[in-house]
Amino acid sequence: MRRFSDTGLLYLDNAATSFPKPPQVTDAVCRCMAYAGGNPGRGTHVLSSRAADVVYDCREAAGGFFHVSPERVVFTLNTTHGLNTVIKGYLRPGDHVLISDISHNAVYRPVYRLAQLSGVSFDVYTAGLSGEALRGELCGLLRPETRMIVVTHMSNAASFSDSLAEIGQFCREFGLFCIVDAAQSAGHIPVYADMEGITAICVPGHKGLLGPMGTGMILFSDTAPLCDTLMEGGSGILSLSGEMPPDLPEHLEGGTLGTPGIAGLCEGIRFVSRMGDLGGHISELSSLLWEEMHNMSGIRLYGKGDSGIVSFTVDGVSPAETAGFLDRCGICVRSGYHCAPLAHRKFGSMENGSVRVSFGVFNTVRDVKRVVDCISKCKKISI
Amino acid sequence: MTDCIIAVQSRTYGAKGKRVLGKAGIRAEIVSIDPSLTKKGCAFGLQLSGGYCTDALRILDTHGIPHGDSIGRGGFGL
Repeated sequence: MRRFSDTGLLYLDNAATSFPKPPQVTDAVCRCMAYAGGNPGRGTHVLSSRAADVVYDCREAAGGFFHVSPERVVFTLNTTHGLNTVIKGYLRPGDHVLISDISHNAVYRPVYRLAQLSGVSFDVYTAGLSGEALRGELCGLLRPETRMIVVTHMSNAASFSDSLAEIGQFCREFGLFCIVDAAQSAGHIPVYADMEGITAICVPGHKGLLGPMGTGMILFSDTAPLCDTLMEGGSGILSLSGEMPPDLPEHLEGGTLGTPGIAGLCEGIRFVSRMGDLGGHISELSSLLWEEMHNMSGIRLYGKGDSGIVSFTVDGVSPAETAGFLDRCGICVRSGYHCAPLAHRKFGSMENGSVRVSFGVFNTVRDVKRVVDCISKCKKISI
Repeated sequence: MTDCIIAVQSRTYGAKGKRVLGKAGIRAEIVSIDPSLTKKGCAFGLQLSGGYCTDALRILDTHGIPHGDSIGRGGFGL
């Protein structure tokens, strides 16, 4: 495969979106647009049928990957779309919800909006606890009207993950919806819809699953009840009714699907399935960079370094300036708050945010050395 | 020659049904059903040939695929 770094650029912003994509992904997008250009599920002529097969192929691939039936795979535009759908689809006025202190704005903002408009209340629990500490934390925040916990499986601001298995068990015990934001973990570490207590997992197609941007999914567990719709529209079936079809996935898929993106996503999932432990690879790279930077003076590190992300600041240099310097070295990283103010408050980087290096499956140890060299130069200039 | 058409709940279940039947050696095609027959608007069905209608209905049931009756056996019943 042709490496993107052949061009001299080094892409380390995979927490925003993965790049490059496997050639199978880009080929599938083009092939779909050329040969399956009909509208899926809107008729049975040959081009529509091919498109519908493309869509169902991806449902099957995703179902196998996340341990759920194909019809319980709902396509979305991204993780934010999925989270808005399930959070707003399940919560009712007067309900209480718990979110974690590493939540992305894709969780925080919908909940905040519901609190403003619909009388939903929320509390923030401490992510990263386990055992009795976790149980004590959650029990302390539980109210009679608590209906849901939204778990951020892995932070997007730094390497830091939450105890999904234990929170799932807690949700089952107390009859709560357990919604998982797997934006950073899907494709890297195991997360399955048949894990105990899980209601639904919201994932992006364009990050760890290596699909195109504009793709995402909700994976509903087999026992998850139907949630209300976020939007309504054509579904290709039961057209005379004013209501959306009562079954998944059409219940939540109003309007035409992005078939070319879904074709690419399907190949991304197949690629990730074949490759095996991709999470282990990016974890090794970030741990290596973390160790190197830990030994450098004038560097402040946030969170941990073991989940593919290294979040840091350079003394005397703003994160934006540092990212700009790296950009001039041909290294693409992100600076700022990464749409996760709660996480930056937790990690102590609220003042200016941080610089985030996020590894992908195609990065190598050589890339770590290049980052270290560039940051060393940046430090010298700042002195 | 078409033996029967089994109405399915959605295009998604049509695809699932087609693949499940295919694995059992029963060839099916997904077809549009005349909305006047379902009374509920657009719908899809699995068109079978070769005399496998009863087997197909049993297999769909085994796999939890919602469906109506086959045509000629009391309407679609969706």
